[in-house]
Amino acid sequence: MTSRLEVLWSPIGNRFILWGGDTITSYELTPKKDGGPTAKTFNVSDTHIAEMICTANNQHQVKCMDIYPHSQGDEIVALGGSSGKVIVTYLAKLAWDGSGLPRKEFSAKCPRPCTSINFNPVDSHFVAVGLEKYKPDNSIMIFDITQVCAKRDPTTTGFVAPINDGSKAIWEFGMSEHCQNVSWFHNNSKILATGMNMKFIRLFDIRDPTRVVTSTVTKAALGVCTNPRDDKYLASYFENQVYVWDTRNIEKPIQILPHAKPLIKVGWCPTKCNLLTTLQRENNYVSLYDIQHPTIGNEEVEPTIMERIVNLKTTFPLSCFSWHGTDENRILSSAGSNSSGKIEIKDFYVYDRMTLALSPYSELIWSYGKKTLKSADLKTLPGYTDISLKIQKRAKAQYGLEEEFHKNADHVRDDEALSSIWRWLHLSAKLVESGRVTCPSVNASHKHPGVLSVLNHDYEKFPSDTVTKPWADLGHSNCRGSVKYYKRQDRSKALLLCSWPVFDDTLGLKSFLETLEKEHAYSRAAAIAVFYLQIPLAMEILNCGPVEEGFNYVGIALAGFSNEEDSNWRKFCLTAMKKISDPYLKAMFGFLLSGNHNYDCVLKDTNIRVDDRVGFALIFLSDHKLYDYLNKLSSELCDSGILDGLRLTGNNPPGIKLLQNYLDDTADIQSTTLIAVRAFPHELNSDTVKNWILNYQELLNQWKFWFERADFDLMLVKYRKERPLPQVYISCTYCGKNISAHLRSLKSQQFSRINVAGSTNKLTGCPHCRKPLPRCIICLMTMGTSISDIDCISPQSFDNWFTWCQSCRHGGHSRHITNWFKEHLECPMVGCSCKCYSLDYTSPAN
Amino acid sequence: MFECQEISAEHKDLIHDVSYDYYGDRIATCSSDQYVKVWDRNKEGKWTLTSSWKAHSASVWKVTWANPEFGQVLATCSFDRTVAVWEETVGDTPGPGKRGQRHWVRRTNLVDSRTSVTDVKFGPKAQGLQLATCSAEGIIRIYEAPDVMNLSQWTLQHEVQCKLPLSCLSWNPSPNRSHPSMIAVGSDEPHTTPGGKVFIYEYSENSRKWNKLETLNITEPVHDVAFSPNLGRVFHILGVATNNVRIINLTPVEDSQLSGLTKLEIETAAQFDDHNSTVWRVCWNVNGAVLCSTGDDGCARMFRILSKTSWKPEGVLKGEGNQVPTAVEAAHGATQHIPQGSPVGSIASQTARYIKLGSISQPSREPWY
Repeated sequence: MTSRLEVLWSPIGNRFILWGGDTITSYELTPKKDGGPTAKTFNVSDTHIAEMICTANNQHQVKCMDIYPHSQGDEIVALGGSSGKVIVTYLAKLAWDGSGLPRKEFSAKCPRPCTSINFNPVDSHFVAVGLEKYKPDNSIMIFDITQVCAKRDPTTTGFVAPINDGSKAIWEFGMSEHCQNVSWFHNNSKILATGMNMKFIRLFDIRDPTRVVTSTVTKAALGVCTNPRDDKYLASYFENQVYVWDTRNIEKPIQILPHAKPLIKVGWCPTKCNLLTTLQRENNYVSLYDIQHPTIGNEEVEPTIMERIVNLKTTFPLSCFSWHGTDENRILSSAGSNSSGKIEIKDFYVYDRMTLALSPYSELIWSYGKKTLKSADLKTLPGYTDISLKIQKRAKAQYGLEEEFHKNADHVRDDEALSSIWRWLHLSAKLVESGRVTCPSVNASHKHPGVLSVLNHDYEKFPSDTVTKPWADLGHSNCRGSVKYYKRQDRSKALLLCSWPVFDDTLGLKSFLETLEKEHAYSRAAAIAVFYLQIPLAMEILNCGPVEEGFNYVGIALAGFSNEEDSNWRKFCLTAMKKISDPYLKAMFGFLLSGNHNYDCVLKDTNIRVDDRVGFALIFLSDHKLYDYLNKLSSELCDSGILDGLRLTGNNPPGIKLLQNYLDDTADIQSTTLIAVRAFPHELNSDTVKNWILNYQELLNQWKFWFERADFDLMLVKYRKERPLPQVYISCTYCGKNISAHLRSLKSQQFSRINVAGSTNKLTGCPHCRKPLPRCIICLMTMGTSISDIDCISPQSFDNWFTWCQSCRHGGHSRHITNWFKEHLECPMVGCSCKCYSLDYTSPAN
Repeated sequence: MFECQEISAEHKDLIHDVSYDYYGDRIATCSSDQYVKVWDRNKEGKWTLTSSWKAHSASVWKVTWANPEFGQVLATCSFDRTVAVWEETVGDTPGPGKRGQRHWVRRTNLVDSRTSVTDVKFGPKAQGLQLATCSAEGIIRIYEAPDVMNLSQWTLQHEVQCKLPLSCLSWNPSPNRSHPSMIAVGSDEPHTTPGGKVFIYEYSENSRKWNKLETLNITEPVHDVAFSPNLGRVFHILGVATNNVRIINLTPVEDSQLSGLTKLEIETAAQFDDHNSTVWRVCWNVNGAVLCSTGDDGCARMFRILSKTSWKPEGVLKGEGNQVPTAVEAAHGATQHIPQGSPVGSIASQTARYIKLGSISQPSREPWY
């Protein structure tokens, strides 16, 4: 027996035989259990182990093996020995000779080693054996095992009946030749392919044993194997070349596949068409060759081969592989050797190339195996989020189309940044409308000025008033020093844009803080109260806060406010600050503790809302610092596409850049487009915004959101302030003049005499040549005739409208046409065979 | 509850491509069994087979839908070196009140290629009815139907030589007319060649030629490329299936010196080795926020955008439709952000490789002109 380890799937489900050295072992695959692999088991995959069923040792004389294809219960194996003896027996019998199971022996007349053994796949009681050369004897023998395996030996008696050695070969071929390999064809199972004398491939037919069916001279006479799926192909190899033969014309190989290293096994996959598999020495991958045989026209062209390499990820070089007989794509591999004691078996799935596609509605479809498609709705996949799903939902809810900006915010309540920017758009529009905020730039379309555009940039000429107030004057008697803040008219306007009240407006502050309290934003309200230097008010707010959140303790802490260098309050707060997680409380104490007008603790904390940071800056930063800070903040927000930046830029060109960055990061074309259309009406004709609009419309179309798209288009027209051009014109068939233009002019000439016909401007003839307009093909009335009293046509609906087939140009009242096509397929016009109604693909399969 | 519908495709061999129409209401499949099948959603939302026909005389590699504006039109390409354009027609009525039998008629057969045609795609509708094909001999061909009502007339507008055998093709789908047409092609040439295997071409109105803009530095064989829906972004995103999934941002930069030629700034936004093996296909969702891929690990994987330059794995589906538990996903780690200019190829895992050598063509079948 060769020392090379070989594997072969058993015809019995989930079992395989492994042999090599002097041992033959059969295994069964079972799901992995707890605990590591034991001596008798192997891990073959992530989920399964191979459990030993039985093993036969000391099988030194065995040279080759095959499993009876119809084995049941236990594998019947045929073993070719080194002395020309063939044993057919149950594996269990081999493992334990006292089992009483039957066995059968055949032998060649002259002793020499067997080289190859193969059961006939159809007449499976025939087993073909190839033998080494012996001058006066044949080298291929075919035995019949039926006498033994069909009728059972008298095993019940407990004796092994002596086998009649006279069981002779039924057919013999190849006198004085050396046979390397035998393999039956699967379809035409009477024919045997053999590799002979290291230089022939010969085909024998058992129905006519006297002659060779066909023969060819080639070096590649090793490992001759037939394709289970197609008798046409044959493969063989020598050294590092694989030959593929077409048995209809075996003179020349149809392909020679060169390999880098010498080959040790070639085989066809039984579950795939024309898939050849090869294994080279010292490799841990197998090569798969898909043989394509196209016919172009009636002419058959040379087959072409596609290679694929499958790495089986073994630690040792592979020694053998076996494709599963029925499970597609399943390949078993062996590596290592018995003698080294290191054996590696892998049960591997070679996945077919999967293809996939995604529908506009996030339905994923992919191929699984070669016969099935799988489709799944990603919306229902746990943990799956996708902005397109949100866009869909919002589009259906008329998001962005609401007349009032703040109502749009309600549609995006789940997105804080989006809803706050809609609210800001509402606020800024209101402020501009009421005249409380005016824009220095003359452009009247700037309904949404940003903080930067409201501020007067010429601060050298118009410096802000600096107000310095000692803390003591503010009612904090144990405080030293003073607080400095800045005032100017444009600063106050900018504060309003941050939704903060004007600094001295105590009433405004109170109502603002009350709304915040209603929203349970206690810490924010308290912080803003402190920023307005109303510390008692802040304590009041904190006291109102929910007890369980501990705001009242913060209030108590605040009450002891003292900014003296060495006060205990200051020391304590400095250490406690680090432990505060609420950004507003932190900012509040940070502000009170800050010296030297360094307010980084407020201005640089990104957890604090942009409007609050800007509001704070507007009060406490000097002109120069303020501009620096706002410009820096604005460009930062623009670059990272944070929508809050719009509060600074307003609807100036940088705002478009900001939206572009927002879009690039989030793929939220919807909000980008809607904000651009609503807040940047003067940019509507810029390339960028036009492109967004186009993309958003395309998206809605793809979802078949026709009505939503139409609503969007209507809104667009309102902002574009231009009348959309008509898409359809009617011209007279006789004179070719435009009728719709005439109808339009009628409308403008309110006092025209022709207009007495009524308000609907109905015409029944061409105003230019007086010829009648087209007729409805069903009722033969000309267009423009009122048919309100005819069969259930209501004048208000589309029923009365004219429609035409775009292919044959016949048409009529839409109601008539629809009724006609309910019962007919062809056009109602005599002699016209146009299938007008079916030309458009509309409904799903019926 | 997550559910997975199984459709018995009734193909006799491997399915190479599946493609949705514009609305996602119909699908077309093609296979090695030389058949093309069209499926429609019935009233219960299940896919039902409505047409099936033998389209080619060898494996059909790809099938693709034209924009519905041009009718119900499919294009297929095959190993038999041809490309076919199909149109659905309505046959005779089985009886009054019933819909006529629909079948697909071959409108044209494009036979210019001398080797297997590996991909075919319709151009964006703004450019009219255009068809791009690429073949194993390394030629991109652009066809156009000058009259959209007559699908049997196609003229070969351009032939672009690429030198490497091509495996896949993608049009930049931007609906904007002012964007010049752009095509990306990939090569699955198995040997690592210097210079890369993904090429970007752009049509220049001035020279009336397709010019190569860039070669992406991907040296492993490329099996699929897909442009994301443009969606008004300033840059284009290209998904590439090679030994891993790559997401590449292509930013057009204004070039004042040269006339009309766009330059592209290339940045690898993300690279995912999650498949840990060859990646076969990539596709985008409707707004280019999610990329799906399939690979040799037998899984479909989803990746989602976090920002311009960072993406994260969003989910894994096994081939049979089970979701891989999220714990596994977590183990795959956070986002991978590849700084520009790093040698991405060296990070790539090489544990499993599938190589398609392409066709071993006979020397007698050398292309000639």
